Amino acid sequence: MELRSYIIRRVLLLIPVLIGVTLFIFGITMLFPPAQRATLYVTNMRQLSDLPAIIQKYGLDKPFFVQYGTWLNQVLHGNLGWSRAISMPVAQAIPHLLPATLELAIFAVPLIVLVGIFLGTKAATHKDKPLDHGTRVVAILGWSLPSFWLGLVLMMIFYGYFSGLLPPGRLGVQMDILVDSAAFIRYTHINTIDAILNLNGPVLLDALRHLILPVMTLSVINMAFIMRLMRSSMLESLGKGYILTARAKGLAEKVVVNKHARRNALIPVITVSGYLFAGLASGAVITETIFSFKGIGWWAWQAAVMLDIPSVLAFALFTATLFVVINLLVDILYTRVDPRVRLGGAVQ
Amino acid sequence: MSKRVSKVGWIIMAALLCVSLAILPACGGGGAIPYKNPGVFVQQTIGRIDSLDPCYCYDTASGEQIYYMYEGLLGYNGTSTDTFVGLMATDYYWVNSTSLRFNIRPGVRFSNGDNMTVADVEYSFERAMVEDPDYGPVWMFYFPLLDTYGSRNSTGNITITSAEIDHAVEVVNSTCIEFNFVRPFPATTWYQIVCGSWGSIVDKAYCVAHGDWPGSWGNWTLYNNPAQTNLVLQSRAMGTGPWALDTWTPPGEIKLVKNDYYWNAGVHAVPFDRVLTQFVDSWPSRKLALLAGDCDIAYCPRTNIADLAGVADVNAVSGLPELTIDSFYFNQNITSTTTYAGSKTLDGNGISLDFFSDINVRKGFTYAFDWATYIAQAMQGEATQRGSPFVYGLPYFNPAANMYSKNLTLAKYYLEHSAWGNLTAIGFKFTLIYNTGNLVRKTACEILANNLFAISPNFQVAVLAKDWSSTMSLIRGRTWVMFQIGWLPDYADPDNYAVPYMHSQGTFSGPASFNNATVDALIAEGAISTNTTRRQEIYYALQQAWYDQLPGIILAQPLGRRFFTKYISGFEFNPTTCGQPGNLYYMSKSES
Amino acid sequence: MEDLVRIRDLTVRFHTYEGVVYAIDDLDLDIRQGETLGIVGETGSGKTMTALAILRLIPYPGRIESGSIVFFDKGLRSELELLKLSEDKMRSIRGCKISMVFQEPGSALNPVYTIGDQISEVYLLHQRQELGRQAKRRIDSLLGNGGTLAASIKRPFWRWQSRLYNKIAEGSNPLEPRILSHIPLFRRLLWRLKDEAGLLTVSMLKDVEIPDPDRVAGRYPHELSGGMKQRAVIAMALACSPELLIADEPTTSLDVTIQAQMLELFRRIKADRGASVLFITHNLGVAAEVCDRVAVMYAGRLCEVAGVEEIFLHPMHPYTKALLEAVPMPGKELQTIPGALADAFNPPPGCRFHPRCPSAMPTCQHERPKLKEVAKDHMVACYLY
Ligand SMILES: Nc1ncnc2c1ncn2[C@@H]1O[C@H](COP(=O)(O)OP(=O)(O)OP(=O)(O)O)[C@@H](O)[C@H]1O
Ligand code: SF4
Ligand SMILES: [Mg+2]
Repeated sequence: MELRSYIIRRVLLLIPVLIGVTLFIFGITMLFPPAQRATLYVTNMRQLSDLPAIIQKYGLDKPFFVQYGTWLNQVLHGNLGWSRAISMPVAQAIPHLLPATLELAIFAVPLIVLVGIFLGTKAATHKDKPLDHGTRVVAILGWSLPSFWLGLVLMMIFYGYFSGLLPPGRLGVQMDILVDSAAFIRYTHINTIDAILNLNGPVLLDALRHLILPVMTLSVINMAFIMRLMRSSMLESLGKGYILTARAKGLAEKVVVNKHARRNALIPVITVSGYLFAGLASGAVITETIFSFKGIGWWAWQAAVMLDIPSVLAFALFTATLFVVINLLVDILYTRVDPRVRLGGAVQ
Repeated sequence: MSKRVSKVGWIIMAALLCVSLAILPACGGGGAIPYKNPGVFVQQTIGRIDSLDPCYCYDTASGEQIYYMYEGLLGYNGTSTDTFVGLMATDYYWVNSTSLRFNIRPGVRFSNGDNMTVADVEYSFERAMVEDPDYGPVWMFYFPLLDTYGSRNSTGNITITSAEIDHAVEVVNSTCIEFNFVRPFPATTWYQIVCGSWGSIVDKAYCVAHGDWPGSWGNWTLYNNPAQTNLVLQSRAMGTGPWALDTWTPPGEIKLVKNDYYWNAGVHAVPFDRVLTQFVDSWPSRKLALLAGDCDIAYCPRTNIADLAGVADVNAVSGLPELTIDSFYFNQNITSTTTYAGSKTLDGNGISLDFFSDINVRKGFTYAFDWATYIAQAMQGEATQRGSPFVYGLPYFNPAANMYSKNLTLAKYYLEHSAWGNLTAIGFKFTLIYNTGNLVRKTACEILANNLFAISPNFQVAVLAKDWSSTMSLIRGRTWVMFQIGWLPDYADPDNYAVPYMHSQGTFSGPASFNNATVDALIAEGAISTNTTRRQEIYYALQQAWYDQLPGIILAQPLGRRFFTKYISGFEFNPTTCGQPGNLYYMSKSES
Repeated sequence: MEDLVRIRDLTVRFHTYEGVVYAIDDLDLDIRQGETLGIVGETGSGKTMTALAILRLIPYPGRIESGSIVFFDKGLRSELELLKLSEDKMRSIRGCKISMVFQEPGSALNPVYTIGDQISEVYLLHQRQELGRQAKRRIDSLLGNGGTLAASIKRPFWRWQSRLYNKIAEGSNPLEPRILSHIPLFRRLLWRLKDEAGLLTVSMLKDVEIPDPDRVAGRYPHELSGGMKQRAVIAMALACSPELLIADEPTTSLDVTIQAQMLELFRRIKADRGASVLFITHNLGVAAEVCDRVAVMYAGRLCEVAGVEEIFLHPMHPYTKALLEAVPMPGKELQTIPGALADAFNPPPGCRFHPRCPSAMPTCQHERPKLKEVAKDHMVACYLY
């Protein structure tokens, strides 16, 4: 299928997806009684007596579809509502919070994917040897360690034991003041990228220093899957006839593995990496919270706790769109890696 | 094969766990705290800022920042809650019993360099009354000035006129402003009200330039009750305080920068070039930041105070009586849809809906509570028992007020002699609710439940956690049986406690159906009495009334604490000030 | 005739979790210069393993336990003990002097690279010097002609390129191109090598009778039919004019007409190039058509080796006889060999065929029969002879 029509079709598909997702989430929030949803608007105990008025004002006791319709109508008029969780309009909240989340994802995903692919390949070529067992142990650790525990332990070691070495947050006090001064232009609000664009070494170093622990936490937790997937996919690929052909050609083992086996083994890994990126770009709640790297994930969690419905719905819209777009990119990337794959079709 | 390897994995994991557990206690607390960021005050705390607009803000985290950036006519005098110093006003006097004049301090400038004039003062108060956002603090101006609780009735229609607002705050001349009260009002209470963050003086020119109410009466109603999105000062600030807003990046932090035009800087220099407040949710993170010198003060929850006990270089200030109190409230008229009252009849498997309307039942329950255990276990020793909601630190607090104490014999006596008969024989069953995660309240529930069970195994009280948002609506719905709630005052006047706790329409006493005509009359009189002797009589009487009527079990007044690094000095505790550090202007940071 | 490959006492075992598999047991076999030697036998008898052992590509967990494989290198005019060569040396033999065509053309080609790329790879690997020489020649001719402005601007670059390709042509792995080939962008500077390899590829494809070879070179495997793929695989194997071509059941998965074309191709190649072919098949008819000599394997051992006519006309080993009986013929009732294939984990002692052999005698159960030359060029391992 032609690329353009394929993209258009996919984007059109997004509309029912978004409606479905928001209907579903709206339905869930409707399970809470109106009075409970009204407490979202309460910041002071004195307002307790205002709950009925709030219900009245925001129509919280109206039928499901009326309330959904009101929300949808607002959204269609470009108004996503007010996010109580972060005290700004929802439409501003996402661009405001995305840079932190993206910064984590930008560093974590390539690390996870590249190291995962590397270790997975090594594990496959050293099947049943110590190196394979070693990566398996790493995988088990990654799978079984709760990320809040890992994050805290890392922080206690690298921030507590080595006092102040790798601090939480996004920037140290001095650099934080610097980046908000007129001398520093915020192009993207992604600190590392802005530091490079401003040719500012100290900010870059400081930003990287703050990224190490959260990225490490995310990586250890998420790498296991990519690594094991790569290992099994690589083993499957190494067992194929064309590998024997490649060896019989006289190619060095390195070339056989890295050129002939790996490219085929990458195909399932691409899908998973895409979803991994979508997952991380829509927020890593625990890591963001522990390391005060507040982004989309923190916001979504906070919104859910507060029953901040406009935020929760906007988050759903954002995440669903992200997943559809990533899915599209993965599909296009597929055709680049595997010539057998056609857009909109399966492997021939 | 894979089984063997996963066993190896588990062994390695266990080993890692052991190692990390061995390391962790050693983490932090070892070395000295380094001195970092000279000239910058860094605070790490919890919570979040909702709004920087003085007429909207009604929470302490936002209020704290407003205090740093704005100043009102008056401020509290040091640690006192009922004496004042002039800030934007140099002096003030009553012209007659309903007119109060403030002479405005000359030479004050906003952080953008604008001069502060009487027009700004008038605009600040009138703007608040014009905008009067829903559920906001402006009722505090409306009640004494116009004898109403706001600009709108319950259906949202405007019920006051521009002339009324205009008349309430008038410019007398270029140095003097006048408040006109609808009837004589207690002076101290008004001074306390204007000390609040809502009393901040804003820059009229700046507000108008950014699209705020222009100060004219032509179409002032358009500016009434703005949505938060439309608040001009929601995320901007322009005040005369020692610091000005640099950047606010919700939810992470807010950065303030020194106000170069601060009026008192000649006498007392602004001590910090920058003030940073960082909102960090996890306690280990805040603690490590304090120990690493990355922040100067860290909020420490009561359950974690042992973490910082005796740590070198940490300056702990404790025993600070906060103007708040936790209490159990008795619901004297439970809604019949409740699911917390067992069988809803007093048949041994529940309680009747009016169970607590009998004073002997309430007394029996009160005698069954154990304050000593509560203070030791739940409050880590950081609390003092009080006999009524009128806590220490408020004017007219009676230090000799009567208090109950644990006495299971008396408890049993009163429960055996209730209006409903001998309860030890009948028995009862109901559910106590606390909000999820609040371990202090959970402990209080358990103390009460256990002691009642000790009196008679027929007294069965279950304890249940509910999340905060649903507990709020439960109170309104009156389906709860007994509920614990705390109260943060708007200003340090006993009236601000009397109404929610004891008035028949109060925030808590209302839904609890506590209704006593004598009490209501006393409250109404105390609210507006200008005679301090009379007010003392009234509030002493109300404290005794609480002891006699027992609308609920008053638990304890918490004692707060602060943990600074040793480099910070000058902290003074004033319970009415928002935020942990309090009045930053008189604090300082230095290496020695 | 001289021997090209001499296999002695070859033993291959697989050490699996379930136990040891005796895949090849003490095998002696010679492949002569210029001949086509067929190996026939039931599935699992060790035909493929014998071939892979020659290339030293026995897959994990298999291992060559003992024995010797001597290869007579015509170019070097010397005998090489393949099992003792370094891995590097061995790689220079694979695909160059000894190459192999596998059973399944579908899986023998990598689906993500074009046919052309996969064949060029062989040239780039084994004929780098030759390609370098060609490239240099081409640049030099560019240097020689033309005085246009563009040409004079490019001249210094061409000179550098000429020197670069000359270094490659001189061999012994010079530093400059080696560094270049490891740096992603600079690797492109060596594009002329690829170009030259591409030219050779196309002519090779033409050689194996692929129509429109230019187009096919740019195709991916899934875009070709089975027969075309097999031709491409054969082209890849023949690219460097090997001295030994091993073909492991090259026609089994193809339909009959294509099979015939393929056999024709093999015959022609042999005639054209004088290479030896080790032709593995379980189809006796195919063996009869293409082979000069035939070796019969059973359960990892050799039963009988003889000239093709000899073996079909005078089979001696009871297993060979049984195999011939089992070939379906018109007007003849189909016979099967009674009993089951030998268990690879627990092969029967003595003669491995004895549980199924109609002429088995007591010694057959304990003693292993040796391979003996019972007639001229006719070796049998059986106590009957
Ligand atoms: N990976 C392996 N693991 C264990 N045993 C193996 C493995 N590969 C081959 N073998 C064993 O080696 C023996 C010889 O196998 P080989 O592939 O040479 O048989 P073949 O004669 O080529 O059969 P076919 O006609 O099916 O190709 C068989 O018994 C087989 O069980
Ligand atoms: S050696 Fe014995 S068992 Fe083996 S084939 Fe010959 S006769 Fe049969
Ligand atoms: Mg085979």
